[in-house]
Amino acid sequence: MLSKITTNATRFLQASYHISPLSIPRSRYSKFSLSSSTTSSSGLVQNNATTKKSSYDDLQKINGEPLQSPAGLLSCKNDSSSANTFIPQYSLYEGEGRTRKRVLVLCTGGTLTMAPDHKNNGALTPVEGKTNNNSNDNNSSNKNQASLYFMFLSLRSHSTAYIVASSYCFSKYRSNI
Amino acid sequence: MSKMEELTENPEMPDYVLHEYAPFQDSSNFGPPDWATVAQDIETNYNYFDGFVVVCGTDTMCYFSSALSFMLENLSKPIIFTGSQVPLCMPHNDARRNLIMAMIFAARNSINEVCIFFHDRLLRANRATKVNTHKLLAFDSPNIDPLATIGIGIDENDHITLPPAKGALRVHLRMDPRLLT
Repeated sequence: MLSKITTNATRFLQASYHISPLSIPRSRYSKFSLSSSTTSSSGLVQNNATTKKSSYDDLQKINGEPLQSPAGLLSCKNDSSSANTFIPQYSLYEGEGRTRKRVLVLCTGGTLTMAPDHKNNGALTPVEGKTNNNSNDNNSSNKNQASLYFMFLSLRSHSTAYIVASSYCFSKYRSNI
Repeated sequence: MSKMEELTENPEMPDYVLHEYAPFQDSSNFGPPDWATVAQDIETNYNYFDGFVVVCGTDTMCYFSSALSFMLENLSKPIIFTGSQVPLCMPHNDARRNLIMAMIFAARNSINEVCIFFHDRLLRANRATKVNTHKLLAFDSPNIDPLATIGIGIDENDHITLPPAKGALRVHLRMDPRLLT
């Protein structure tokens, strides 16, 4: 009679402690086992190395192989030179890794994108493609004129060169208009 | 933008990808369906970029940016709205500086919300309004200080800026355009 009660109790406890693998909390996997073969009469698994390893292996099968060992390469205690090991962080290939941030510019129109539209008699309208291709043409032409002006000033001291340079600058200025 | 040396040759400036919506619309014609389109595009490219700049007209920029700030839940990257009062083709334009500073703020880690950058001030989008149509200082947030002001450097108000969100980005696209009249 007593043996029947104990066996029934054991079976009841085994059934009650049979929980799905995914519901096992990681911090307590050492107490519960995925297989009922190692359960004791109380339902709890004895915390020994083999049991821990088997449950860890079972957990590996469920969650897949980890990409990296738990402690990393530098945690190897047997390696005496690990304390002095310095692993430089440099890229192996040119352009590897990204150092600059990336920004997406979404242009919906507006005053910023406006440009004189020849179809509308030169009126300012949002022109597609102008935002990216706008070279600020006014500034570039002013730069050419400024460089010509400074060259003209530098040659003022020489009379003959003055005449030649002034005619050259004037012709250039006329061509830029 | 491709010929602006501040954006292309300076290594401290971010890399950018420009996308223009075709056809261009006047900002007064922009409505909730267009706002939803932009929000969807941001959601699609959220993991590939560190920040976003939205260039739009100034007339409805406040409404657009405010709506976007509520449509994007758990935002952890900056979305900077900008525009200009003077077109980029004009020599005396304010677009150049607004665009460059918007790009700089879009690449910063301290900004985690939808903002408007205009005339040396970074404003919270859902607290800003357009106050002037003729001056370069077109936007203001009367009830809250600017998130940042530009002088010689960038002065951020750290006590106002939002921290990064802890959850994943969620986009709410359903908007009811019916208003109480």
